[in-house]
Amino acid sequence: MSSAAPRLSDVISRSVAWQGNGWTIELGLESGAIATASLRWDNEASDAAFLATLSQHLKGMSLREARDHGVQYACAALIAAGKGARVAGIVIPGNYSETSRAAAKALRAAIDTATPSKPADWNFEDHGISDAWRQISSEERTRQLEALFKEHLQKSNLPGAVLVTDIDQYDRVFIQFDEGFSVAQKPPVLMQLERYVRQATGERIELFVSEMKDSNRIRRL
Amino acid sequence: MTGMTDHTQLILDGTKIAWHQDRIKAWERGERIAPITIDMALTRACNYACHYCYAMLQENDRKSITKQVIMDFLDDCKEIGVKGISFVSDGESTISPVFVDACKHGHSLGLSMACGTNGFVLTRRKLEEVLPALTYLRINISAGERDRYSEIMGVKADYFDRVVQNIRDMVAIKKERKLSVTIGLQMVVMPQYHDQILPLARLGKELRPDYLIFKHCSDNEDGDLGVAYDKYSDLYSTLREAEALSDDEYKVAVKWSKINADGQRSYQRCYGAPFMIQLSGSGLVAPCGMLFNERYKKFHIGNICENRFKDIWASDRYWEVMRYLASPDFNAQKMCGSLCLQHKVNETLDAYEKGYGTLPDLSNVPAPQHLNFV
Repeated sequence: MSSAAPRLSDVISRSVAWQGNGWTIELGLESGAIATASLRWDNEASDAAFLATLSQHLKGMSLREARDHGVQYACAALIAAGKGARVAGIVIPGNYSETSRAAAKALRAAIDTATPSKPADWNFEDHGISDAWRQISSEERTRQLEALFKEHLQKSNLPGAVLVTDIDQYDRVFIQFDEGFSVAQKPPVLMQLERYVRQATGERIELFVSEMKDSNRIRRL
Repeated sequence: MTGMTDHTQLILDGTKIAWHQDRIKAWERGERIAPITIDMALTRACNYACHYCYAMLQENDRKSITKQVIMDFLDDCKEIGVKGISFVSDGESTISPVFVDACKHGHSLGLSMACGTNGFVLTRRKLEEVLPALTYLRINISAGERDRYSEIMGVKADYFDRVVQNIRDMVAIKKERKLSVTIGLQMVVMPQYHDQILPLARLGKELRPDYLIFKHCSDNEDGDLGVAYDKYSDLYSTLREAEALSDDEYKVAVKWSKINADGQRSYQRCYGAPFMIQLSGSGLVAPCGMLFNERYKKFHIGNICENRFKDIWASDRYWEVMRYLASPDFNAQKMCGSLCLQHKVNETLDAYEKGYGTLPDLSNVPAPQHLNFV
């Protein structure tokens, strides 16, 4: 059990160790980020594969991010790998599985013990586009994305083509469907394409179509 | 529960989601929950040209919401468990030919019905028909003087006189017929409209609606409307002066929680959309008004002019979009405009999900007014 509530700055170069409710959690920290993570749950419901995935995803996160979103990332990774929860509605750590629910509680308790939670603080830690992706020329990114679009459409037996029309200053990718797509097909296909390119590149790429201007004649910007 | 239920407290700056714990628990269990509130418009058209109008950014493929479409929609809402429907969103619903029938039919089904409007076409005859069916009627009036009204709301100055008369009429009808409808005024405050805060507060005191609310202006993620959030703090003393004009029957309120937020969000996941979704006046079903524009096509779920709402709600596509917003694939801090309709609900659910708060025991707390508009 860790000692009482040091500030985050005091713990960034050492480990968080916590035991409780059958859990043993050890988070090794380097420069404010989690470098090693070990989570064990002494319970017959414990899902070792989930905990291994969670441990992997915690690496590189700050304690705050691990506390607030760590289990979410593990759930999302498993869902993307086809190991989805039997949840009809919204998947959250509390309903993905018994292990995810218990892990979320335990991880929060462990991190809150090491560093007091500050719910009033705003978490702006983001996992968006990497510098490496940004440094690739727009032409090359367009080429790679269009190749991935083509690959996905072929795998899904979807007719038609999708082209990149622009990558803007915020790295948002604007695309255009050709006439092979019906109006109703476009929204779900756009989401599928986005998921596919994210999985292929590891980048949180956002896909959009061209903006439609206001057609109310008396309104104006 | 209908919109006519007698409640006590009027919450103008906050959320009533905590009074819907049965639905929160169902959401937490991973069930497919019906929205508590749907905010929609009956048309994308408008007879005004307000400078701050977010609808300018929400254009999408227009379809017409006919009487059959809206009647089917309201029936579907009742069937799946929707509780309240507000005609606000991205068009002026009162100019739709189905407006009165829609309000009356929704009310007859036991749905709480409400409307946000510029009030221009709501003359006495129409008000007498529609007011008994409404939980609240909110007039968007972003100036207290006719010339500035004309400038800010993009219409002729005499529109101001007509709207003021319509407000007098609605207040009188409410009083004469002892209606429980709440009549409110709303100013969308841009920092450059600061000179109209006190004139409008004084005008409200003369007209005697139930309340006047001053709210922030939302902007998209590109800041196309040019809202200067850092300038709102300059208005605080004027806004407090306006609040001081409140009396026992006229409440002047400021959405401090949003104005103080500087347009920022404390959360990254959007959990609020399944609890309160928005429909465009084109019939488009989307999780949020900020995602109406064609640009955000990946979030577009369906259209009530083409498919029944109950089928759209039950579809895997609806839940695919809702799950996306609640997953690490989405970051509301980076991918959304500022201070959306779901903001307060999102704050509450995010804190609850992260274990920063618990659901309060409200068993002995009187439910607030307008409970079905979370």
